[in-house]
Amino acid sequence: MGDFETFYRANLRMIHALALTRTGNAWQAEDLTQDTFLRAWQHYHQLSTWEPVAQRAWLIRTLRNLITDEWRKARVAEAAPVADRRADASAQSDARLDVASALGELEERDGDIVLLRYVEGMNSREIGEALGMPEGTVRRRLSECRSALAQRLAQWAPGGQR
Amino acid sequence: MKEQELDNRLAAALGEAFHLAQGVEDALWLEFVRRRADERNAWSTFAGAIRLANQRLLEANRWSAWPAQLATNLGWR
Repeated sequence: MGDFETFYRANLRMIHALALTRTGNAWQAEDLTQDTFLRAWQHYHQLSTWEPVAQRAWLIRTLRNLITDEWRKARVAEAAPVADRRADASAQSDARLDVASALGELEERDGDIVLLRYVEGMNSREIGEALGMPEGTVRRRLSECRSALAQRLAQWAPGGQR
Repeated sequence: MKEQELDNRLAAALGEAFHLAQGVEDALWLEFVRRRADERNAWSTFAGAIRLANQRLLEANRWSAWPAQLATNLGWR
């Protein structure tokens, strides 16, 4: 069985980015990220024997289920997120939420595709395997998303207006 | 803008936006470790309650009362 910390760190950014895009809320995103990895910890004996793409697919499915549960419960949290308490987090956090908000305007599945492509550097085949969709569909959706996001890009460029 | 250029710029912008600084990543890992410990403790309390219920019922030789005793030990009633 592999080292869980390595597994956690290897997938943290992806899960955190997906959670942030889905919720648009830093605290909820952090909470959902940790809950996703707690589930992974409980199943790690099995999960550790899988290929990385299958592991990512499992994490994404688990996160999706947790978000659905969260919406059902409509739980409102009052505590401040850990990340927001960090000194260097505020400016970056604003930009992150701005980008997350733009991705949130896409269809849910499209937002996932964009993140996996541009944040995780996955190719269309890997994204298709992770999200359970044909490679050709991923390519087509990516092309449409690129056009949709092109207009927002100037705002996100380093030194651009946010 | 050409597709490749757009691709590169999106990768740069999104990569920057969702980058987690090493300190943030470390803090999240520590928070995860804390939550995992809480979960283990909760489970250990639950398992302890089951052991206690078993022990008491064995002593009393009253297995039919097991569910009620367990609920009492867990504080559910």
